[in-house]
Amino acid sequence: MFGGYIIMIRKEWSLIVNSLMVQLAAGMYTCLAVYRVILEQQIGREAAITLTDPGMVMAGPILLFGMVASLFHLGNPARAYRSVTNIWTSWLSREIFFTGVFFVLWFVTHVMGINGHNHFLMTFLTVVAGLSAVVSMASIYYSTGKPGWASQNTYTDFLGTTVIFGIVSATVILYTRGAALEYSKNGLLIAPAILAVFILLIRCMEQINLMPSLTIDDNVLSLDNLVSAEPMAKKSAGMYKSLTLWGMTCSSIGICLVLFMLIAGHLIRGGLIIIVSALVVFMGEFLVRSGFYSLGQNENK
Amino acid sequence: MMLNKGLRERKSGNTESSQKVLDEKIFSCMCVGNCQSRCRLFVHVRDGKAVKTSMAPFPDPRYNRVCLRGLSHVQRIYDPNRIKYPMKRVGARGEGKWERISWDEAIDTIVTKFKAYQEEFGPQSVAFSTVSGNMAMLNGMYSSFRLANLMHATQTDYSLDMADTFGLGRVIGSGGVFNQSNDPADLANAKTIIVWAANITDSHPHAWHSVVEAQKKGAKVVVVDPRFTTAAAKADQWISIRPGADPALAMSMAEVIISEKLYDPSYMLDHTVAPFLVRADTKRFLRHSDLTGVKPEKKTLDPYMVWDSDTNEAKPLDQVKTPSLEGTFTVSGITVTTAFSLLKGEMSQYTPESVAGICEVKAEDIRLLARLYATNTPSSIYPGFIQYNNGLQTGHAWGILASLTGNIAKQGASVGHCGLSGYNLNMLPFLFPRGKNTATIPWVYLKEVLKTGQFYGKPHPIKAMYFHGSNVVCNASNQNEIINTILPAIEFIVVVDMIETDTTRYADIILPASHWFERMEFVQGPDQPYTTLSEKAIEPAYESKSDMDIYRLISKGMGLGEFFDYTDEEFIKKLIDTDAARAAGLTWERLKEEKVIQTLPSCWVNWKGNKFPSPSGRLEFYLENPQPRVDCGIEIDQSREHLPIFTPPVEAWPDNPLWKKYPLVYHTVRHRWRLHSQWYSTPWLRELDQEPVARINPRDAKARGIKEGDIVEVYNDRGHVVIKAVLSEAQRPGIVTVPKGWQRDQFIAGSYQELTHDHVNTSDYNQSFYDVLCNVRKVQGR
Amino acid sequence: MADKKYVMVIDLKLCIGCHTCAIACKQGNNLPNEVWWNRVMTFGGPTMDTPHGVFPNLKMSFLTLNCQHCDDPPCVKACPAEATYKREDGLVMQDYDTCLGCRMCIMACPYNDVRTYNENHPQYYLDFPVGDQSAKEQQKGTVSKCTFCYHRLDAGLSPNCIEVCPVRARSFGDIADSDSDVSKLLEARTHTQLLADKGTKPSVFYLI
Repeated sequence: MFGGYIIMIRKEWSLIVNSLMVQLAAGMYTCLAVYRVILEQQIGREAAITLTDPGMVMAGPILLFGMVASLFHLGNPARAYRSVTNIWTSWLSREIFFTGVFFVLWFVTHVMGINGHNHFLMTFLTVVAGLSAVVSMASIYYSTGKPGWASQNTYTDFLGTTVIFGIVSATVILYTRGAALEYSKNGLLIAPAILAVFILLIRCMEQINLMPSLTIDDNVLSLDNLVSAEPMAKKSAGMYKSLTLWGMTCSSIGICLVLFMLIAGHLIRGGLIIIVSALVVFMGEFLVRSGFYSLGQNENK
Repeated sequence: MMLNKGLRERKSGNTESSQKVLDEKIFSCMCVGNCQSRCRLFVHVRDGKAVKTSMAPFPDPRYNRVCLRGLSHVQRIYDPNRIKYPMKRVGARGEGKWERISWDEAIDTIVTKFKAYQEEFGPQSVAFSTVSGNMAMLNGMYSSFRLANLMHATQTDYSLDMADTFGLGRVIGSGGVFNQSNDPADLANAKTIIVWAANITDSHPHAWHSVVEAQKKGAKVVVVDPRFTTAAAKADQWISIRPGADPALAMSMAEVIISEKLYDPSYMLDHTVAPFLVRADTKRFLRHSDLTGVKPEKKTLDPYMVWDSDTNEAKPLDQVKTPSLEGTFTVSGITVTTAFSLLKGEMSQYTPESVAGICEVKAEDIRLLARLYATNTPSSIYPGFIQYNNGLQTGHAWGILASLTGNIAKQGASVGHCGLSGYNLNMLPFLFPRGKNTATIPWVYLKEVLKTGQFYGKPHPIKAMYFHGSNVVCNASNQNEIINTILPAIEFIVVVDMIETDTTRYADIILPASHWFERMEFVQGPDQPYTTLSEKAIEPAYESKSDMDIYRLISKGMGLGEFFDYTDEEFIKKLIDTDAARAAGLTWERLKEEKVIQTLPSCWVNWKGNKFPSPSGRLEFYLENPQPRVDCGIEIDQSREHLPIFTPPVEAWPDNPLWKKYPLVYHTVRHRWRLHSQWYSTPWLRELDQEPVARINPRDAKARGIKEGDIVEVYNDRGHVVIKAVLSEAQRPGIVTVPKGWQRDQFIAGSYQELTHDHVNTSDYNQSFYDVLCNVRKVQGR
Repeated sequence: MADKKYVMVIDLKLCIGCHTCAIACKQGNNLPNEVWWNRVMTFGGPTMDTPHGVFPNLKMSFLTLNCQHCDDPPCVKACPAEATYKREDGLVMQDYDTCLGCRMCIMACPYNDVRTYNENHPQYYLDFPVGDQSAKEQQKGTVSKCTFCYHRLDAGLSPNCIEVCPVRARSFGDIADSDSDVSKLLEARTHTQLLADKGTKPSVFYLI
């Protein structure tokens, strides 16, 4: 089991890292953009920008890291530029296109920000591009028709990770940076953390629905069963189930810790604990995502 | 054509190649393995290398054929285990340590040793042993027969596939040769086909094609096999018989045909010994001289006597219009019974009800099979080789079935194996230029000769052996005895082969043979009606030489060079220098030009006009004077062989006390992945068939705690093989199968051939590969 | 060419699982080690050459599986680089010179294992290419699959796997031509396509 996991990670790490990084960048950027709008009302434009800007800037390098990681998945990275040629039918083309647009808009918005021009429209367009990239990415897998992938769970999962990453990373940034925000901090952050717990619950429920469909029915002798990629994919279900279970558990522990820190934060002051909690969430999502990719195992031989 | 929206089309893309285009030459060659199909192949040569084999057409497209082995030759020619140069042993025998030597040194050593042994111990002290590694005329077994005969050396008889073959051959009169059936393509004309114990789709796919053609036209195909083979899956009916019970089934079919009067009396009167009168005292046919007391000069001039029911007296055959088929009479005080009456009496004990338990086949199924065979005619029996000690009886019983129904010598009606070759050639001068001068020792009897130093009651020391076209350590039974008893008794062993094998390992000198496409060859039949020239497509790889070239060198050294001082072309010209060949249009000029000449009609019929080579010219289902297949000076109990009497297999039967210890029957299966042991290391085939597996019924596996993929040991008192287990319902409960032809180092331990026995059956001198018991256990800790 | 539409017809009643077509493909296309574009599968038990059922009530047949050259190919839609594309005569092509090696086509294909990803430099047992000289050389980091031997079609020959079949179970030809062997076979016999419910409209038909 453990050996199989190592083999799987060695084959799929680039896609796992890519998807997590793109979702982290999109989620973080989106979440902080929302906070910025809310904070502008509470503490004024300048203070809101100062508080949210470092996180939104970080989204760029994280995205870049994810894009570079994806190159390692390609057999011919030098031909990567061709990957947007089939935007009309290929979700992969679309994903790469939107990721590119996300990055370019982020860059332009950032440069404009340095020069003091912070336009809400630019930020909004960047958020749309980022979320489009995530939706396109989920559509790639949804459109394969593979068991476990061709389910609405793929969207819930990818978007859920994006939002959870956004909330947790934004919380960490604001929490660790903002003494000035003391008075509004908990009010602003606790509600999203509760939302994150709620999203996690929805994802768990979807998994309960999905997992039984991954069982192979051995007794049916049909040509279609013989040639279909589906039973083969289902053979990876064991790994999928355990990785998802462990991952969801980790994520839940992490998010509950974050929530606890936010509620009881005045008792235990500690940026370190909240950072560790965020890392636990990240690890959880990594496990869940590895499980997701393990379903595609047999094809990438 | 409609295409989906969004799908973009391109007319043509990556068709132009950046690869350098080399000149490609195509040669017409023949695949001459022992499957008998003799497929014609085109060999594509680029830059002096064979790069592709493809199916080459025959004039009659029905014979176009190729298989996975024929398409893998490129990998066989450049096999990783190809023997590159002559080598001599430097370590202990079997240790596998070799030193490269020159051809001069190799031939010099061989010639010096052969001469010394022959001088000191007599010419018979050098033995030649060959089997079926090359079935072509020039470099196959015939050229070693030529040299062995010139040297007055010993030859081994291969003791293979000769149980049922000889049993049926005695009835037909063809004896221990394979030539029995019609052209396998003629199966397409049959209405009933019984595929009996043949893994036909794997071993003879091109014969199976003719079965399929018949099936398309409405023929009924019944497969008799303990195993659920692919043929069984495709057949109209599968009869899973208990291993080794085949004679009982065949004789029971005869009983049904007789008791239900489904036989053909006029065929039996005209073409079988049915009306012949058998003497109660001598068990011989009553001849005219028995009554007159005057023996004619030639036995053929001594008429067989039959009973004339009109006059109530025995008369010579040609004087009676309708002889009696049945009855016991007294002629000049001699009690005689017609052969048919004897048959009827003997077969009466094999009613379907009485053999159902022996065969583990329902009585009703036996009846239906007999009726189908006798009434839905023409019927053909396509047999595999019956590998039990009682196989002789099975062949004999098939002869009885053909005799009763006349399902032989007609279009679509045939029985037995196919082996018609050399039919219009100058074979005898080629084989025996100075007459037949060898002692032939059956392989199974060799151990006894080595032990006693005697053959036929005379001293017969064997000091040197020359193996070619055979991998006897891998393919002959009781491997441990070969390795530990037979080979150590031989002082000097030469092995000629293309590829390292279990046998080359025990050589003192190894000679590298060239591949079939690295020399010119001449081929005739048997499973197609053509005579063909196989071109030399490429130069011999490394330092290899053709067998014929090796004989040229050895014969020169032995002072017999003049007999091999012909080119390949000259040898072929001598072979085809016959009136029969010329009548068939077979000339060197045509052969050279066309490569393929049809020398028999398509779907030819054997024994046309019911002319059989038996002493009476008839089907002798009753044998008046049964003789062993090979004369080793050992008498047989004739009383058990005039008509078949069911005896169980010598080992693999529940009566055997060994059954308690070894309750499973052990079969070594011929799969599609190789031909005997040839192609054993061909990389493409090994990708598909990666390791040998023991197939075992899930019930037997469960009883032994064996699960799919477990490593198991299959064993008996003679040896063992350690191998992965595959659970399969295709094996009847009670059978374990292991594939044939893997070399020792391809098993985890042991070898499949360690378990088989070398019991000597003094009638057919055949190896009974399937007549073996074993048990299986899980190997712990694997 | 535009009005041609190539299809392959395979008679499952005849197929004996002998692998001759698989080897013909392997040799003709000079496929690298461990790469098989045309695979033989046992339609019966879980492992090769094992039947379905319990002795003596058994059944077993065989099926050969290669790229189905679909009329609505999910792989073509999924390819981000148009490296896999549809030819007018029905062939689904894979252009090694533009392939990124992203394996989207493999993931999108509903048929199991008809494509191979050459993760490393293709390895061969011999140090010279075998098979058809016009077969395109394989590349590292690209995906390959059955090409319907377009290099042979373009030269007027049938694919490597067709004529070699010992039981003549394989046919290939133009379904747009009602006189072709394949059209007649499909007219005369009951046939099926694999995973028809996926809507891929394969060009490989199986006679049952």
